[in-house]
Amino acid sequence: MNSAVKNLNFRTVFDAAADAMLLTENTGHIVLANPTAQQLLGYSADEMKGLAIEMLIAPRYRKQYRYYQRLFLNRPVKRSLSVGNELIALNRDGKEILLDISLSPIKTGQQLFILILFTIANRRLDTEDALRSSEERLRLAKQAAGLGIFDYDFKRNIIYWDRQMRKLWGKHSEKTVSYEEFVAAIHPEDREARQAAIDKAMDPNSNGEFKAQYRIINPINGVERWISARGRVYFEAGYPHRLIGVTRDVTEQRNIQKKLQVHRNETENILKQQVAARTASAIAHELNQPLAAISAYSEVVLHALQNDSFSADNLKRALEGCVAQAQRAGRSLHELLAFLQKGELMTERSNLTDVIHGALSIVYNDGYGRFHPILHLQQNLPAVQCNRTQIQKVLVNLFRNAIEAMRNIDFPILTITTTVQTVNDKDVAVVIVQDNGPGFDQVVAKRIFEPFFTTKPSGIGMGLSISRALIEDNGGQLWVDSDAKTGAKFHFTLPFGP
Amino acid sequence: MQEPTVFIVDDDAAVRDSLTLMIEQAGMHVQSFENAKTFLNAYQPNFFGCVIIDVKMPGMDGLQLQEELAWRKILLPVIFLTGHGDIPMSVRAIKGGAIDFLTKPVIREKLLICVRAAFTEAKKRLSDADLVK
Repeated sequence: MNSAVKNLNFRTVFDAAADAMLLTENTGHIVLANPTAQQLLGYSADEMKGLAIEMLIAPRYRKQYRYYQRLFLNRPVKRSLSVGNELIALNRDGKEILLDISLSPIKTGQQLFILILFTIANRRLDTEDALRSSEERLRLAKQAAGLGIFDYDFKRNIIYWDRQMRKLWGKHSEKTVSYEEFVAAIHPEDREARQAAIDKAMDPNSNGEFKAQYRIINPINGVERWISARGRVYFEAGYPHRLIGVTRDVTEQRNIQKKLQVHRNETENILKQQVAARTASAIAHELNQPLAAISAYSEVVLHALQNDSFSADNLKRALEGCVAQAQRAGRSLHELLAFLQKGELMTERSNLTDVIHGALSIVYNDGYGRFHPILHLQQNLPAVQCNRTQIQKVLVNLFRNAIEAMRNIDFPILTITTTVQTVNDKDVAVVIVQDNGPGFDQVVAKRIFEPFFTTKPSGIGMGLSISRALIEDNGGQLWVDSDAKTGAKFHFTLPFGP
Repeated sequence: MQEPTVFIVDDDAAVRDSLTLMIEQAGMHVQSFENAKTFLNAYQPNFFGCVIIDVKMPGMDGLQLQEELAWRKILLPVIFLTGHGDIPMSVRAIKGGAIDFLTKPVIREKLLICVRAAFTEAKKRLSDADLVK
C-alpha cells in the first residue's frame, strides 16, 4: 500500500469528508463532529462535543430515533436509515432539516463508537424536480385543463393552432388555417358577437384583452360544441399584430348550468306552491277554529229557542262565545292582512313607557294567563318616533308568546327593560322582553322569525315574522338573544323622535 | 248501569266550551280536557261513554292519544274532530278503531248521532269485556 495512504489517519479523513459525520459513544453522546456537520447544523466543534445526539433531532422524531439506536446497539452492523426513514434534525437556530442518516459501528477494544453519516434529503428531491422539464409540465397542464392554443397573425390572416383545437374544428392535419376557414366553423348566430370582441381587443386604446363564447359546428360530424376563448392582442408600433390565446370546450359546463337553471326554477316553483299552500292552510286553520265554536254556540241558541228549554245563563254564555270568537277570527284576518299589504306608515312622537303600559293592560284584560311583571323602564327616556298601534301590537305579541312559554312555570316572571344604546353612532331606544320559561335552542332561534315557523301546534307561525316586519318598518330591529341562560330574551330598537 | 259521559279533548278553549254547551243541552254529561296528558291523568277505570278527540293538538296529538288509549286497553269509543279530513290521516284513524270523523264546524245533528252511536258501541264493548271475564 502507498505509504502516504497508510499515513492518513481517521481524523484527517473524517474532517475532510464532504458529507456530515458525527462520532458518538454508544450512549449517544457526541465525541467528534466534522466541519461539514458543524456547518450543516450550525454548531461549533466545542458546542457539539458531549451533546446527546437526541438533542439534535426534532422532538417528534426522538422516540423513533431511540428505537433505531436500540436496534442498532443490539446488533451493531452498518445500516442506512435512508429509504423512507428520514429523520428531521434541528439546527442551532431551530430550523428543521430533513436528513438521510446511516449508522456504522466502530469497535476499538472494549469501546463501541458509532459513526453517523448524514446528508440533507431535500437535495436529492430538488435534483429530481429539476429533471422535470417545464415544457412537459406545461403540456400536461394544458391537456389536463382541456386547453387549446391559437396564434392569429393579422397580417398574414392565418391562424396557427394546436392539436386540441384542430380536433374541435375537425381539421386534424392542418397546422395552420386561414381566418375565413376558421370562422366558417363558427355558428352563424355567434359570429357577429365574436367579431365584435376581436375588434374591441384590436383597438390600440384597449388593453388588448379578448374574451368570447361561441358555438362551433364540426364540419365532419356536425356536432355542436360551445367554446370559451380568451386571449390578448399584441401590438407592434401601435398596430395590432397578433392575437394569442387559449380555447376551452365548455359544452358540458353550459349543459350543466342549463340543467341547474331548469332545476332551480322547478325548485322555486315548488317552494312558491308550498308557501301558498301553507298560507292557505294557516289562514284556514286560524279561521276554522273560531267558526267551529261560533257554529256550535249558534246551534245551541237556536235549539234552545225552538224548545224553550235552556237557562238564560247558558244562552248568554253561548252568545258571548259567538261574539268573542267572531272577533278572534276578525283579528286573525287583520293581522294577516296587515302583513300582506303594508300601507303608508304614520309615525308620531310616542312615550315608550306609555306604549308598554298600554300593551300590558291589553294582555291583562285578555286574561291570557298569569304572570308577574318586573319593569325596568328608564326614566325620562326621550320620545321615540313610531306608529304606536304597531309597536303596541308587537309588544302584545311578545308578551303573549312569553306568557305561553311560561305556562308550566311556578312563578312566571316577565321582565321588561328599556335603555338607550348607540348603534352606528346613533342613539336608539332598546326594549328588552325576557321571560323565565324554558327558552329555546339555537336551531329554533335561527328559524324563529321565518314565516310559518312555529313551536305551537295551533299557532300559524306568523306572529314573530309580522312583528319583525313591523319593527323594521318603524326603523328598528328585532332580534332574539339565543344565549340567554334562562328564558327567551327578545330585543327591539326604535329611533328617537326629532 | 251508570250514565254515559262525553269526554272532550281539544286544545281550543272556545271549541271545548261550545261543544260542552251543545252536548249538555242534549241532556248528556260532558267533561272536557285541554290536552291528551290532562285527560290521561284524570282517567278513571269507571269512565264510560265516548271520547271526542281533536286531531291537531299540542304535545300528544289526536292519533297518538288514540294509540295510547289502545295500548292502555281503554275501551272508550273514539270520535275524531278535524279541521280538514285529510285521507291518509282518516284511514289511519279508522284503522285504529275510531267510530267516526267530525269535520269542524260540527253540525249538531251529526254530532248527536255520532255520540249516540258511540254510546251504543261503548255498551257493547263493556258487555263483551264482561263476557271475557
